[in-house]
Amino acid sequence: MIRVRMGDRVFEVDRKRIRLEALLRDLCINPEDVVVVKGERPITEDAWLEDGDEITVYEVVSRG
Amino acid sequence: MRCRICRRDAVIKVRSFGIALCEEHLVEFCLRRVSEAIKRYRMFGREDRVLVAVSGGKDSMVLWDILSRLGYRVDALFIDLGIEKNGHMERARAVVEAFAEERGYPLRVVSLRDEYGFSIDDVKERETRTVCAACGIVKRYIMNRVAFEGGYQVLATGHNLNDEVAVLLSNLLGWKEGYLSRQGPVLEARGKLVKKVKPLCELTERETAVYAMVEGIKFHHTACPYSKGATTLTYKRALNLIEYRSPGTKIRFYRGFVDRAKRLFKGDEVELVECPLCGYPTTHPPCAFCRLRERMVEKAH
Repeated sequence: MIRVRMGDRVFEVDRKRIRLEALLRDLCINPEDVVVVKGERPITEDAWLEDGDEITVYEVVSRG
Repeated sequence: MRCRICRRDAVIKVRSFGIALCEEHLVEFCLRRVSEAIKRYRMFGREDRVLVAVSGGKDSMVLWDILSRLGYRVDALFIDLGIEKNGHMERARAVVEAFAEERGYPLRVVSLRDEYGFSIDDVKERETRTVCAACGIVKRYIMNRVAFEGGYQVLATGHNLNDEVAVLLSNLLGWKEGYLSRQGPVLEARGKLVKKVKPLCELTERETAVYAMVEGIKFHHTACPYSKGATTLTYKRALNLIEYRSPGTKIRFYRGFVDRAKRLFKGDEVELVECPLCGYPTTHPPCAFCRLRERMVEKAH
C-alpha cells in the first residue's frame, strides 16, 4: 500500500511498486499541477514508490 | 533522477529545459532566471528603490526573498484587506510578519480598515458586484499610493509565468485588445502611477513552490475564501496540460507575445485626469477607489 495525502484527504493506493508519474496518471493528476513530497523532500516524477511509502501531493496551481 | 549539474538526487524536473535539479541548483536556477528577467525586460537597477507587494502566498514571498538575496533595495508591503472569514487575513499577516522578522527584511503594513474605514468583508456584505473586482481596485490603488508617496521607483508583484500565460490566453480568446496592449512584464510609470514589474514572469508555479520548500519559506496556503470559481484556474490547467505534452510551450507563448505580438495590439489612448478627492490619476473622476470608499461609508450609516 502507498499512502497518499492530498489536501484534507488521505487515501491508500494498492500497489507494491510504481513510478510516481504512473501513480499520478492513475489518479488523473497532471505532474505540472503539483509538487510531490516524500519525507519532507520534493521528488521527481521518475521516482519509484514502494509498499509502505507515504507521499504528500501539493497542488501548486493558485487562483492568481 | 539526478541533478544535471552535480548528479545528486533531484527535487524537480524542469521540463521546459529538459533538466533536473537538486535543492542547491534549483535555488541557483531561480535566482538566475529572475536576475535575467530583470535585465531582459529592463525592470529596475541597483539604485532603484523597489516596493514588493506581498500577500503571504508562495509567489510573493519567494519574490521578496529572491530580490533581497540578489541585493536590490527592497521593502515589502502587506495590505490587510480585512477578510476575516476562516481567519484568512490574520493568518496571512502572521506569516508575512514572522518572515520579515526572521530574515530581517523591511516590511510596511497598511490596514484597509484603519487607513480608509472599510474592509473587503464590508464590500462583500454591502455590494452586489463581484468582490474580486473591488479587491483588485483596492489593492492596485493602495500599492501605487504607498509606492508613490514612499518614493519608490518601482512596484514589484509576484505574478509568475503560469499567471501571465493564463491571463494572456484569456485575453486572446476574448480578443481584448486594450488589455493585450498593456499586458507584459513591465508597465511604465505615468505621472503618479509608479512603474510596475513582474520579476517572476519567467518562473513557473512549480519552480516557485519548490524554491519555497527547499528554502524553508513558510507561506499562506489557503486561497482567498471569496475567490472560489475563478476562471483563471481553467486556463492554468489547460496550459499545464499542453506544457506536459509539449514542454516549453508556456515560455515560448509568453516571450513570443512580449517580443513579437504585443505591438500589434493598440490600446485606447485614454486621457488620465486627477481624482478630485484623492489627487491620483483616473479616467473617470472620482476614481474607482474613491467611489467605492464613498459607497462603503454611505452604506455603513
